[in-house]
Amino acid sequence: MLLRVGDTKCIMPILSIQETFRPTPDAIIVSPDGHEVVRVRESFFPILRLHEVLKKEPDAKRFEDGILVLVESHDKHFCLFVDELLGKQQTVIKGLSKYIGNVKGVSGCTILGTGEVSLILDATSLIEIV
Amino acid sequence: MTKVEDVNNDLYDEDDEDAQKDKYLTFHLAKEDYGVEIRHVTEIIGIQRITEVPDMSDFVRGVINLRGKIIPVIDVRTRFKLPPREYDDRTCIIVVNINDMAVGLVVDEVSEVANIPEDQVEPPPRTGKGTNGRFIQGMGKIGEEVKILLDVSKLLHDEELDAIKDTATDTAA
Repeated sequence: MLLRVGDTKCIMPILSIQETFRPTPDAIIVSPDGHEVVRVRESFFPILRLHEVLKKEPDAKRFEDGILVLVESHDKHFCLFVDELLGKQQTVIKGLSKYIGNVKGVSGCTILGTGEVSLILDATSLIEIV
Repeated sequence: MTKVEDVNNDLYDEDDEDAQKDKYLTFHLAKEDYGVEIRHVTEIIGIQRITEVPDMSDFVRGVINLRGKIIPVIDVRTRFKLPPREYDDRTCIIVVNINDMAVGLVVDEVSEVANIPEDQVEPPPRTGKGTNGRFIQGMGKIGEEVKILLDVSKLLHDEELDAIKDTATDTAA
């Protein structure tokens, strides 16, 4: 799934995505220590703002203006907050260069049809950031 | 003045060494002229869209798509702690190949390929514990001009970081 935050495009493997939704303001709970949590039906999931991970300026800062992507990995869940879903796409995974090595939250990159390079997000290591 | 032979030399092909010896690609950055050994340089490309990678040293700008190959890009300005500057149409990426690893270097302006014979290269100035001196391989003289010759492999690796990381790149740095 191709995601957009600000002018950056990222890929999240569909396999990790359970659902996507736009939350209502009353579904968002902010805990006293600043963690944002969203209620989906009977469960609560922590929210990770993708623009904070990538240090980008997003279009949407309020959850009502963007999209939450419920991500699952090894029975752990969290919601990724992005500006927009750009659709499903098949991509070839390319490694980041040996020079860059391992990056937290990123498993590799891919080249989009436009020639742009897009990062592939890694659900398992993103959970550690949440 | 005998120059200490680069330890990386024996990794490269003996054949093209003569033709490329003493040749340096010079480029302009801020107010100074710099040079890198031509044998490291693969190609020069114009600036293009760079995809940022999170959680990197600030001088690693990101990655670019070079004809289907993903290569990391380093901003030499930030590497030297110079003030950043907007990229313009003179801004170039010099693609270098170090230990079979392609890396792009963003520079203000590429000048020319200059021939600087060994006897015109002075050893780097010793400025106490000066941190920036560590990238310098020597000072090349062309008439009155001075080109700062850079050691590309030192440019790529953060020595402090490498010491911690203890990766295979340690031996190269």
